Amino acid sequence: MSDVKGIIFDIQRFSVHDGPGIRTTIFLKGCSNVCAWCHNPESIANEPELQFYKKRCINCVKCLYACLYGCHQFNDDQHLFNRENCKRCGLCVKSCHSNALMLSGRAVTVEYIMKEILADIEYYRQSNGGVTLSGGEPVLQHRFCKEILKQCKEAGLHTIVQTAGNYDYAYLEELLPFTDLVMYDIKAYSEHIYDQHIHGDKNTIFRNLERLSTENLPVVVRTPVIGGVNDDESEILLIVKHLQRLKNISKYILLPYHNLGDVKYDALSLSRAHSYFTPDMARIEALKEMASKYVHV
Amino acid sequence: MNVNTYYERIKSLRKSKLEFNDIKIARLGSYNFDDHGWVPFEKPIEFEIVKEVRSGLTTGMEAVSMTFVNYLNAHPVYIHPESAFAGAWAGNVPGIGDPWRSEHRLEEHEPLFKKYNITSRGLYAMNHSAPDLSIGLKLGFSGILEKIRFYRAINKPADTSFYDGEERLVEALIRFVGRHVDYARELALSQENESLRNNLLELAFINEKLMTSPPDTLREAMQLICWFQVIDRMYFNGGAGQQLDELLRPYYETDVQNGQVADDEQVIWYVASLLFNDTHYYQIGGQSAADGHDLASKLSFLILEGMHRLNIPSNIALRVHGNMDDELLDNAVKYLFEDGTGVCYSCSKGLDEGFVKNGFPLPLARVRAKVGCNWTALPGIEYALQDVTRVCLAKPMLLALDEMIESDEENSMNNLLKRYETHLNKAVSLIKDGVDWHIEYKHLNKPEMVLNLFSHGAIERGVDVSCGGVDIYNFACDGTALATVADSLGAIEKYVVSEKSLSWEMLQQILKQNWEGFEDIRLMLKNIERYGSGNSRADYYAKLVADMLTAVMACTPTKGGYRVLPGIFSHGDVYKHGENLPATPNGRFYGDPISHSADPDPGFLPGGGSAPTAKANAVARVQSGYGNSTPLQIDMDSHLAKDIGGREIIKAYIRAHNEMGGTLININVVSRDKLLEAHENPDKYPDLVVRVTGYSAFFKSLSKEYRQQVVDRWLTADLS
Repeated sequence: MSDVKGIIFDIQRFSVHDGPGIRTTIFLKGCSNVCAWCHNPESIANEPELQFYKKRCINCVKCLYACLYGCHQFNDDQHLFNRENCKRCGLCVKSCHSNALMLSGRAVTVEYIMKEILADIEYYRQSNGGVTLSGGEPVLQHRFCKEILKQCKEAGLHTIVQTAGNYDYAYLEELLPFTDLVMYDIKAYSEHIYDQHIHGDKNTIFRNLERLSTENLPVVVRTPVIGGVNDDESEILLIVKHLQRLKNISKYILLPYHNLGDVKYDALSLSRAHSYFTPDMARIEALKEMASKYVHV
Repeated sequence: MNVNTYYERIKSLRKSKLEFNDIKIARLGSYNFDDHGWVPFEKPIEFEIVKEVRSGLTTGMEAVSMTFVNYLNAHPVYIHPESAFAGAWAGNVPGIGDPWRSEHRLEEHEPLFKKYNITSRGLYAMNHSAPDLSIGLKLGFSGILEKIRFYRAINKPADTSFYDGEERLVEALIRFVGRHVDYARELALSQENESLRNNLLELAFINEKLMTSPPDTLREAMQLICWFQVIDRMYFNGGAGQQLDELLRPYYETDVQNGQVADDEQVIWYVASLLFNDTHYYQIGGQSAADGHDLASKLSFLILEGMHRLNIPSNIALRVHGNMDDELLDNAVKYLFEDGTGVCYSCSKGLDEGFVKNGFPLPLARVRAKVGCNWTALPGIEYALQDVTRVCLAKPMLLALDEMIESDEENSMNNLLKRYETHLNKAVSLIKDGVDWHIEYKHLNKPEMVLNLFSHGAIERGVDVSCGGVDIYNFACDGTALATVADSLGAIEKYVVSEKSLSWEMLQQILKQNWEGFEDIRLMLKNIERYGSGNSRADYYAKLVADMLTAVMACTPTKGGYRVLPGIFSHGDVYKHGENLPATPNGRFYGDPISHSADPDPGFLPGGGSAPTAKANAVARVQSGYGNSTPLQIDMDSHLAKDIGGREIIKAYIRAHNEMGGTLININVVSRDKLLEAHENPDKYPDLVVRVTGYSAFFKSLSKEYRQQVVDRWLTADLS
């Protein structure tokens, strides 16, 4: 039994968009890219964080008494949360029964993860599904991922790692013997997009992709299409022309941006430097058609 | 006839159906049951209701049969010119719903039924067993009449009222058919459209033949089934059909050989016309009794297509098993995506493996068809009284809690559970007493006039199916409010026993106050790892309670020696069952709806999701295991339907639940936005059909409460 632990922020069962068949997706916390449009901002920090959903608060003031650090104040029925003093101990979360306060991120063992995964094994069998490790950037917790993937393979499960490539390649390399498919995110080609919106290193990301493409396993490359950032033909063309030169790229997927994560930014007291929008479907279809001339879309 | 003509006929039937629905809603306000095929005739039917002299009620074979016959004699004729079949029904026979004779009512149990919140007693209920329509198809109505007369003569009963009543009914039915023959000819005289005129003349010919002979062709066989549907529905809303594809396959194959069926479209029109006549519960697909080979045939596909083309609430089940035809399943799921709902999926592994535990061989288990809302029964040989008996799992818990706190005994989880089991046993004993009583007295009050004609033994013996007319007696009783109880017990264990945040007495007090002034405590008790999460304490209690129910119900017969088989099913009556139920420790208010069947309450996963796999696992774990159903209700957003591979996902999901021992799956695939819009303004989507539970309905026809029940399942669902 492995005693390796990892930090996750979600387990999504019946995932049907993270690979073939019915899957369970494990979302690991911590990311080295920190894209400004991220719709899961709770995935970025590699430690637990307090989320405060103001609309759910019923002003029972239990958190005021539970917190040892004076983070919660109530003025005229207004609940004010001072994040600076917060030690993320979770005492106020335990006292809150309206789910206004939640702790995003928890440390779990491999055993715990496998128990969750194996609950749906019959569904994977019937649908040729399996397990996907996502995040955040799962590869940053490579030891934890390796143990999970190893046990998944022992159980006969199909495995996928979703990654954005901004780390030492050796971390990814250690996972590959237990991985059936890698889903690799390439968010942009132009330097200025990396400078303004993505904090990952472009060279590292592309170098890792090139190295990955020489391994003997399929790679699906994905690009989130962000309105006003990378939704023009020229940017996508740069990406697909680069992909065309690589081996083992089995598919290219364009994912329209969505703003479902906005409420999470408020809950984490985060603000966005820019605002983003979803390109219309006609634009997405046009980009897909253009891309299909170079790679399998 | 060309393809378009049949296509247009089906369109016309659908249009009429939608128009009827609007009239029904205008008359009733709303209706929360199956759509059924009743036609909203303009004028009320005037006829004499016959009362027994002794009781002053319409009870006993003579009074009931005479009333039924009077109704049939007065019932208007109906033919939709574009239907393949004649006949319709206006409603249940008025007047025969009188209570039983006073000396036959189990009055002493009424206060106890109330104490245990038992609203569906089983006792006094009607039909809910499966006919064997092959009896009617082999003999025809005249043959059935001869059979009645033959056995009356042979058996020489002192009291001939049983046979007299059945004879009376069949004679009246034949006359009713005859009136339609005349009507069809009359309509044909004034019909200018040649193809419609020919159709009417064919209807006259077919029905004239059926008055004196059994059917030979597929159309004749299906017309006979339509007449069965009509009288079955009239008589206390009987709705059980049979495995339709296998029943009709010999006729279909003969017709194809003889050139009677020109093309598939003709048969599809027949099917649509049958469903227009009424939406009885039918099964397609299944396994051969002898060797388990797959029974799907061309006709199975045509029935599915007919259902899809008509696209009204219909009650067809597809039997799922390990060697089923993948293409049939594929078609069913394709239509699920296109229509938003469609067949339900009756799962053989759980049903068959469970049924054999009652001491029946596997071949017999395979024959048990899904012919009711959530239930199966053996055609013509089993009196099952399914779906009309429910035991509330929550009330015994509240009684046990009060009793324990008021006793000198230590307040503990163990003691609570011991007392709970005692109360559950008492509640189930009441049901079992009702079963014995029912068998003793039902036939003297409301005989199963229609079922008797389509059962093996009733006419032969001169005995009603409910008390010896068939060979197999398996009663059914479904538990309700499982998630309500499981989450309640989980909450008590966590906050009263483990964390001691709340005393037992305080909990009792707060419940009696219906949470007034204790919203924070209510939210605290709600906020546990709930039933459905997988490894929670509430999951443990769900399994414990489900197994307890099975043990108290299945392991001991009634005092009369009858078997009662458990299931877990609330029908759509979650409001009715919750109406008089006090507040429960899971955070539920007094009078609020209970949880739905064996489903975890919506939003059961940490974070508020309701993953379909987690839900299916939960329901699979709490199956009762004796061959009755505990259904899984799944509602998914329609974006899955647009995804490549979506169909394969759902097929895999269905197969997996079957493999895990599930018994029944009801699925809706509808856009969440559309559903919410339709709830706000039902007229915006007048033809939206949803699977409420084991039955389908026009969403528009449901009451606001029932629509809310469906919507609530979506609001907190974790959409795929």
